[in-house]
Amino acid sequence: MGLLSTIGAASARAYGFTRSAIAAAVDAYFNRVTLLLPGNGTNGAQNNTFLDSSSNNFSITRNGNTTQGTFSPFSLQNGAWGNYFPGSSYLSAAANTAFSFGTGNFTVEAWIYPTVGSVYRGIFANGGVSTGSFAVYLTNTNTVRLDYYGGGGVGTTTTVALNTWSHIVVARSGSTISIFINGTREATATTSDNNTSNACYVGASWGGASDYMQGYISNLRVVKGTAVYDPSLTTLTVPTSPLTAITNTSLLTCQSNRFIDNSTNAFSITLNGTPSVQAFSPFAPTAAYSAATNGGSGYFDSSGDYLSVGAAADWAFMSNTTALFSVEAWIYFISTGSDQTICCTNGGSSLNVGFALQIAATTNKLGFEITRGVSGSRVLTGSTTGALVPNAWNHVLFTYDQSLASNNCNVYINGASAETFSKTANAPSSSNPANPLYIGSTTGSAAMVYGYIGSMRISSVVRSSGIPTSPYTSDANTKLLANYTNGGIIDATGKNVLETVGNAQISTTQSKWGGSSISCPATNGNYCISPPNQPNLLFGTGQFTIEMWVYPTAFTNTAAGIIGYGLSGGYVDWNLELNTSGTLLYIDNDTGRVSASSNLSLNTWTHIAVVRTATAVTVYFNGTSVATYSTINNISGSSTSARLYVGTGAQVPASRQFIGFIDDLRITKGYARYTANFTPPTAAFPLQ
Amino acid sequence: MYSKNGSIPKPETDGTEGWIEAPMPPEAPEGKEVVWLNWQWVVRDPKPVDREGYRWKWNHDQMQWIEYKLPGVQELTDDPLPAITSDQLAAMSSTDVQALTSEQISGL
Repeated sequence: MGLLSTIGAASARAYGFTRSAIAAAVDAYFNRVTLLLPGNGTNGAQNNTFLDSSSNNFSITRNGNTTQGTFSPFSLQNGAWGNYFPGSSYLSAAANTAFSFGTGNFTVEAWIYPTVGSVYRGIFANGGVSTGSFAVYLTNTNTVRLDYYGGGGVGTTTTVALNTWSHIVVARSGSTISIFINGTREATATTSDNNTSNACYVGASWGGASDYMQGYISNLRVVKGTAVYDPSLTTLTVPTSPLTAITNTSLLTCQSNRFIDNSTNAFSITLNGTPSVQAFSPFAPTAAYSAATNGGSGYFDSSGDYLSVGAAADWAFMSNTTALFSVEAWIYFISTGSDQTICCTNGGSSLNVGFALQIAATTNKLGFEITRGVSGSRVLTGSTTGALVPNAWNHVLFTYDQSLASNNCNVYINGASAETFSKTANAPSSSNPANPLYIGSTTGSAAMVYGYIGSMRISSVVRSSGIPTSPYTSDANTKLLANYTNGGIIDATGKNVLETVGNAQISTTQSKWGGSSISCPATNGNYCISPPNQPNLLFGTGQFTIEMWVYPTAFTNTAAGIIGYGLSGGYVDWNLELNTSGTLLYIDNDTGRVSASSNLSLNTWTHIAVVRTATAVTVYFNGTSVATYSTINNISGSSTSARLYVGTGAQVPASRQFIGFIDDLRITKGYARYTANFTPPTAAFPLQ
Repeated sequence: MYSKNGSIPKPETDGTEGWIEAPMPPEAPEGKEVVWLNWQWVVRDPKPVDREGYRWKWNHDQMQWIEYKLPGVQELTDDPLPAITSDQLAAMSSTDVQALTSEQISGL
């Protein structure tokens, strides 16, 4: 596929903003774009107003800093996701003969994106430190090896590059075993080793006890009995689309919005440590973002963030004598240390009338209740045996039908029945719930969600189970539809949710492309921030490109940050800032820095690019190099509390704000788009 | 002034559908700020200064700034228990009543 190709006008229109040139282009590196803020939308739009898209059009009140954006269970098509392993983390599945290959043929295949070198990093292993097991791993010199414990092995001398996606294949056919990196056979050997172990570890070696992957894995497929690629050949064709469950597939994982095995075995995946599902992989979305197709999510930070919806009386149908309803929602929760309420009308107390759906602390089981307003006496209460999974999307469905004699309640997690419960003899009250519907908290101060809630629908009917493949839509039975797609400053890659702080907003006052831009008005307190701990916005020692159009209207603030990642008031992982003369300063790892040799101009659009190749960081103004910094620091994230700032810097975000407009801000991770002076973009960046 | 889907009101629309009339922002009394929140102009005190580990956030339901602890910060005092009404008390079992704190029943 060429770098640029025309797509239909529908995708551009679906995005929901005006773009003068409907015919858009395709970016061959879009899969590496980890933030794209086109800055297009309604004049004055922020990310703070939430809509109920049901016919009720209930008012939704934002409390705290609850925000919304495009990260959703539908950010990417199934197969195009990746898993991030921060270290000391891996996945495992129960032992099964599907992972015991004997002396037969097999294939282990995956894309990996290691972010740390100099240590051993497991990709797949099927046993511990015992005879009969093997491990596929990266060595401390970034070569790839398969070793049979106590037996033979095969290893490359060619290395895998850090901070970029590489396709790895280990294939055995008969006594020939070979390793391919990005389609080229890099090692081959003869083996007679007998693999008798039957465990399954992803992202670790030798029983999960050591050699943890640090970085990403996507589309890991294990095939027993088949050499998918002929190990006697010197090359293979690297797949250009997500892997599928071909015949004999034992495991197909690290490719979905959940931790699942997409093989026909559907093995249960166990999390060890804190791996996370990420919308980052070798594969780009198949279409530009659209609210209807990709949806969005609300972000709740567990300290004061929640939504209140409608009035208490609006929700009486969920707890009265004819209660009949369904609650469906997606949730990606980060912390497991506290109870987290998905939605609730009873304040979490049996002393109140109402309903509650809550993730239990530590166990992550889904609890639910319908309360009567009488202490200790409920219409229904229970908890699932199974649990939700942190750092991944989970789909939950709770249905209730008071009219049934038994089995009134059914709970489904990710499409599978999790529990069925019968109501007690206690009749429900006909009085109104204690509260309006709260999303993300029980009372506004308790059991607050730490994470993202995606498409949510409440209905006055029992909905069928199944895992949705697109955001919910409204029908005659829909009482609430919250799809979190009313953000103004949104990420067209579907990877991020930003909070608009102060008066940061979409503005039609100035625009480079599309009729609007991101406005950060004078003087301070108007900017955007991401949730903390965003590995997709860190670069390790890898290449990257940070670029945007800026239109400064004042250089009032000292060290005014345009964009940065770091800990507020603390360590700066990377930062672009302006001094009061308009000189741009790039900083990484808190100390490394370089100043541009010329200044930005006020009240004019300038294209800024900060590009790191393998050897240097170069700053470009309008495509001309204005600074070079020849130190490659490891930008790996100083703190899990660090976050992205747009329109201000990471150092002192509250008082060192950029003043002006930003348009078409794009971050490309793992790729240097410009390696010499270039012609600045002549059109808006492609949306796919 | 006009707003679309809750956007900050502007004097003019862009001609697309969905814009509704919004009130003019009120004058901010001295020491107060005026912000557009949840489809309305709100006159409020400026946000208090955050202390380490805590953050003041605007609770629109209560129309006031509330200080919340950030994730990972240990709370030194217990969260306040919900107040109990007389009607609720009457419906409670003796065991439940014994479990109430004096703070919860002091307002009855």
